[in-house]
Amino acid sequence: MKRWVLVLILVTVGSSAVRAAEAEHKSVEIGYIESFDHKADVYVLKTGDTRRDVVILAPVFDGDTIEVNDASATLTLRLVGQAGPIVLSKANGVATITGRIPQKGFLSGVFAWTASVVQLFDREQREQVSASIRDLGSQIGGELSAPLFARPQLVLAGRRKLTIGWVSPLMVDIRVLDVDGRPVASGRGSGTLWTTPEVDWNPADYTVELTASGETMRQSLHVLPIDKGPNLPTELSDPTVPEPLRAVAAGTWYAAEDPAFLLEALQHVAPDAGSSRPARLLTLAFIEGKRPRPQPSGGRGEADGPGGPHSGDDPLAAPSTR
Amino acid sequence: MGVLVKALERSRAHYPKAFELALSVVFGILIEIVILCFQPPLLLVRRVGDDTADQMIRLLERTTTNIPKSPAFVFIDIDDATWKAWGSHLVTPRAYIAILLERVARSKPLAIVLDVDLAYSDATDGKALKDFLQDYKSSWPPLLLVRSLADDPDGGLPRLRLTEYDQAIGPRKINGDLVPAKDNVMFTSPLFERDGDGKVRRWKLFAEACDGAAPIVVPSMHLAAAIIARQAIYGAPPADDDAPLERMKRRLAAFTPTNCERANGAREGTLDSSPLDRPIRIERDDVSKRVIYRVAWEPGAVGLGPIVELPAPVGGGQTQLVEVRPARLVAPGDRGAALPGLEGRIVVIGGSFESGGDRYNTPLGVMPGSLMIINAIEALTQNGTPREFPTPFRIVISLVVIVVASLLTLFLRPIVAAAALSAFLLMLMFALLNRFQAGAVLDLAVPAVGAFVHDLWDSTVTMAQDIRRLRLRWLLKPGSNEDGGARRPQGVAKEGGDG
Repeated sequence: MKRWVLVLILVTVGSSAVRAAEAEHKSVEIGYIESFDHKADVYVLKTGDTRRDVVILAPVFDGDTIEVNDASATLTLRLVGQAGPIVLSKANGVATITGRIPQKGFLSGVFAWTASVVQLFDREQREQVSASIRDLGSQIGGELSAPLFARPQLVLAGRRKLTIGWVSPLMVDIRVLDVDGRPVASGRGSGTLWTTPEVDWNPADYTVELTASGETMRQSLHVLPIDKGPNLPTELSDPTVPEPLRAVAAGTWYAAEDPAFLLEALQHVAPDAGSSRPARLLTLAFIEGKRPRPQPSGGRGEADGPGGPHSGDDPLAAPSTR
Repeated sequence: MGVLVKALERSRAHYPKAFELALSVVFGILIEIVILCFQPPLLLVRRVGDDTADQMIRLLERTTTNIPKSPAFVFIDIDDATWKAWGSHLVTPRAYIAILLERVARSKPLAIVLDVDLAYSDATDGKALKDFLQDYKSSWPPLLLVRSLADDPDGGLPRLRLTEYDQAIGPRKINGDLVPAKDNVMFTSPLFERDGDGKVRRWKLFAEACDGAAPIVVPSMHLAAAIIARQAIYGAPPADDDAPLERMKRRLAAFTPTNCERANGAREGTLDSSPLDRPIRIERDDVSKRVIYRVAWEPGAVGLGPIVELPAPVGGGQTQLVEVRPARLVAPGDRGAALPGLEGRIVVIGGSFESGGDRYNTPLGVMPGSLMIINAIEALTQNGTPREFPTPFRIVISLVVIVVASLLTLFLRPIVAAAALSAFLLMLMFALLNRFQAGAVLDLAVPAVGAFVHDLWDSTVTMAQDIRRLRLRWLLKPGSNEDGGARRPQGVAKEGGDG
């Protein structure tokens, strides 16, 4: 009998060792690169002796090494079994990345299953449901809020699309009316941005009308001749600077110039909001009526809304932390 | 006849226990025969069967460490952070979808599953996505899109909900020349069946619908993706050179309804016969529609499920069955640049963000619809459609359960017998776990319900004898010296069936 027990133990240990040896030979994916803040060549990622490209979402294997060669650079990883991100810097030297995919042993699995069957440890799963079509009630409803139109807005004349922004609710009916009350552009916006078709915006007074949940908000819109607008610094027209960068800079400049130019500022950043992170941040800020902090010397507009200097909330940084 | 009765009475007098046992077994067999032959649509039968299979799925999920031959998946997840970063839109912005698709398509995945219903407009002209789909290269991997259906209030087949992107991939004219439909982009159905208790346990392999006046079948996402994955793992069936999606369309044509008036649910047949021991078949029974879930949802996890092997052509190695990557990390990059870590895997683009409402209760808990689709693809690829054990084996198992239940109720107190029967069924589940993993489902509903009815009958007979003996006094609470005999709890088998 004892001999049989011994044989059984040896077989079990042997098969486990074989499995472990097999596992050692194979690279095991344990996570990915979430972000890094310098050029890729500042970082050295190696699997064994092979150097691999450092790109966002690059898989990280158990035993990989990562070295950060710049004192101000960091690289963020997401790994299995880690609730939060892992941030590496030069201080970590050549960091060996290790992790282990949770193994499910038969006995521990059976124990966990038994516990769940008798409901000792499992929390009951409940979630709230909405008894409405497509669960949109909470999103479609809500108070109409458009801080961007807290005051009359100025935009420059010309043939172009006009982007309108608001905060809530998600579905809003929009009209832009001319001085005689005739609609120049209209439509239903889904989300927090809506863009008119291309329109010849002649210097005149218009009205922007937003309607949602039976509530209507109106604000006047004055279209200025181009030569009557503020003079952009010539650096912002430098053709050698990439177009998205110039657009972001121009948008920021208009917003800082005067809160009445927030809508004009939005026109510069909104088209790139889908592809450029700075443009997206600015778009969100402008929709919420926030604008860059005025220059300390004063005289270049004032901050308004909760993102202004008096709130202690940096208007450009705020959206990224939400 | 008289001789038989006398022999029975003699047996009863000499061997009371054995007689009672034999009677129980015979009665149990009769119940089994009735249930098996007449298949009564009893909710109880279905519930017990579902509960048992649910428990086996949970047990399997908690004890499976690796799956040797399985496709690997990447779930590009529009999570809460992504949804917020993209502007919390009611409808996912199509421009972002175009970016995700382009980056994924350039990354050489095995297939792309876009689990976003394009029938809803995001209030833009959708040009970016239209252009992308129109320019989708024939060398790129198969792309599966969602086709949703609108019910017909008159009771006919549901109608197709056409999207503004249909033209981009369908037959169209360019500079006067007719360009055929793209054969590597396909609209598919994401339909599953939800049970009365709110759990999604069964898939639909195709949906019958009406396109104008023409009846059609829309293949399911999981079927299309599984057929692609099976061909990649096991190779094409002999003497069939068609691409997987073409082969699937050809086989599905036989299931097209004759008209738009009503569904044609009666047909059976094989959709994919390779590998031979795990075919994908259309059958009318409930078992063949069972999704054997293997991956539960865990918000924020980097990877989910057991370990699988990566294909050798992409460098080999091991990974978890589902790697989860936030969509917000994909969108900002150069849209022409491939994403690392997708080659050879099935990429599913979908959303787990709470406001999307795309979450369903399953035997493994609540999970996003995209993960449900991944589970279905994996199960279909691994097992084909689940099948029952051969009939002789099922009969033997049923007999064993009946005999054990009869023995236990004969010798043990009811409460102990119930616990012992639960333990027995548990051991039976352990013994059959490997076969279950391979797609063989043993429906324990019949033996369990048989034992339950048997016990109910036993209690009823005892109660009838008591009524006969006590007459109206039976209505009164029995005294200390008067055994009512009808206090034996019922539901032994039900409890066992749940175990």
